[in-house]
Amino acid sequence: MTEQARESGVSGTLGSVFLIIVVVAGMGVLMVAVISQPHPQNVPAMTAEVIKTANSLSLRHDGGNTLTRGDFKILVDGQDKTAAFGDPATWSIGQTLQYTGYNSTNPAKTIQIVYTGGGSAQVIEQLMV
Amino acid sequence: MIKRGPAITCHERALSEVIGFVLILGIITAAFSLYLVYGVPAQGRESEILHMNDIKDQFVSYKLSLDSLFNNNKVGTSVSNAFTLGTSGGFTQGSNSIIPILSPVSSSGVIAINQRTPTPETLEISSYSLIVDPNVHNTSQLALSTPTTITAVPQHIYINISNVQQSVLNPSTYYGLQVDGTGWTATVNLSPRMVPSQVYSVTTQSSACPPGTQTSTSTSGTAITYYCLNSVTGTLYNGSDISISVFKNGKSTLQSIPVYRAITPGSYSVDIMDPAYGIQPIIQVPDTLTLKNTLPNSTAAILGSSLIVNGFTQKNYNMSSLPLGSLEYRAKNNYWIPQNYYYQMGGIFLEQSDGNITWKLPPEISFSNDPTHNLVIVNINALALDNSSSGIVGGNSPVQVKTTLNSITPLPFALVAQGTGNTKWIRIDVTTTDVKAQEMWQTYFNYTAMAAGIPNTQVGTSSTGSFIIINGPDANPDGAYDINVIASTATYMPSIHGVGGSLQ
Repeated sequence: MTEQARESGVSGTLGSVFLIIVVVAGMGVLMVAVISQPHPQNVPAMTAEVIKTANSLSLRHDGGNTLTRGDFKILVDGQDKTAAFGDPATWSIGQTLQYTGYNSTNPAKTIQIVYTGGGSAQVIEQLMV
Repeated sequence: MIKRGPAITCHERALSEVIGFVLILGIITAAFSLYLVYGVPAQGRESEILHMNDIKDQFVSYKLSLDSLFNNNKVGTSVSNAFTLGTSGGFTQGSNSIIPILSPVSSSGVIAINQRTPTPETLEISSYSLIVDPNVHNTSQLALSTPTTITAVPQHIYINISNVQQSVLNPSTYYGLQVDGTGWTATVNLSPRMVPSQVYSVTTQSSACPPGTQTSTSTSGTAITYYCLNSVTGTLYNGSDISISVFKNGKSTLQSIPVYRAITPGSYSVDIMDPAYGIQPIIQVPDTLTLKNTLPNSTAAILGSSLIVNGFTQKNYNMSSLPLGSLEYRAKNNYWIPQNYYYQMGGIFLEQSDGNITWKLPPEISFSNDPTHNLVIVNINALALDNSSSGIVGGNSPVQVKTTLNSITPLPFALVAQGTGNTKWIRIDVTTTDVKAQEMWQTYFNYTAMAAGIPNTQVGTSSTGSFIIINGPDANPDGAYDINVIASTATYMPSIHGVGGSLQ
């Protein structure tokens, strides 16, 4: 009787150990699944407007999130022209960025505003000139 | 020892169950925490961004409704537009979730009429222009055979015929006065009106008269003379008329149309600019008018000279300050940046706490350049919400805004022919105590003038607002009339109602 009782106690302990192993393994799998995902990020939502005249081009922030330097790029026909737009410390609603690289003989066709502050670059606004 | 064994086993079993339950509870809590920290705010942000886009669309719809009333001159007509305050779901929060806390808190909003600034934002216009003045009746006399140049389409050109005598009212007196312009001619005639008449004469013949026309016979020897009644076509003087004939591009459009029939001695006046004669639309200024021929005691006069035409006078004009009013939506967002949309003077503006104000749709002040005629055209539709209206409703239920067009009043700038101006310089001021709005208006004036290629403009801000001064292509405030201002004001009366019942 005494030996039987001891065996019973061992099996209970083993059960607990297995349960802990299963739970820990499950949590591990869950955490790996969650943590290995890209960190959720709020991609800025904003709109912009192209202001074009015969010999100039500028971009006006038309509402939405303020963009900060280093977190966005302005691509003109696929080329990074952020510096030609002044690369402001912040670009907020109502603020206009003058494009100094405008060439009236070969005018730009598309302008993309790309958010680079997250894990991967993402186009947040695409404008046709 | 035997007694202790079962007791120890029992304790170990209880411990493992508790540990297991606590661990499972931990997993569930961790999963909930992750969703609440990352999932719910993302959902809330997304729905608030989409709701702000809806608000923008509702403001665009509101602007189009008010524009349609104005463009169709529907004074006294009302339109209703609905606005959704907040992202909704405030009454039934959690209906789409298992547990209410798993859904984002719904945002709310406030819609307000004329609550933007403590003192009304106003529009002011000052200029040096040709201004409609009904008390002005200057005339310019046309001299016979001497060409007279006009630079504005006259409202009236009077042919005055004074002191018509009885002696000229006879079947043989004709007079005419002709005014020649480019591509058109108008003739005013005093002429006898001769009407067809039948008279009868008695003729003699040797043969029998046609049946029914014989009056008598006479016999001389064997010869018989028959006296017959023959009808003769003739004319009868039936008084003298003053009539008008018009030729356009060499073709007759009016021919001897009587203006005065069977006149008697006295004085008469004919306005050849009467719309019935169709001359006014064909005049292209500058034009040269020449007067030919004469009527007795007649003169031709243009009411108004080349610069001071009928009813217009050149002077400094100052429009009284016009309160613009506003319809505003203030969002109370929980996850997305707070935004305020407002309608003012036909434009839709967006304000954010982290920046300035910008226009989503431009206000009704526009400029254009006409280099062909060396002219700047300024269009102003001062669409104002009545300053006496007010209202403010907050929450997250839909509301409707009912707006009635009260009046449309053209500003008294002279209507001049295409390609000519009525103003030497103009200054447009928008006064506001909101510094951000001042900057926005300055930017708008700059942008609009630059985009239209308007020369010689000055844009700035004062202590009370922003302004633009346009001097026209000649850059001289005292120079030519090289700006054409077309302006009018309209007043709307807005009020806020609940959808299905009045809230206030």
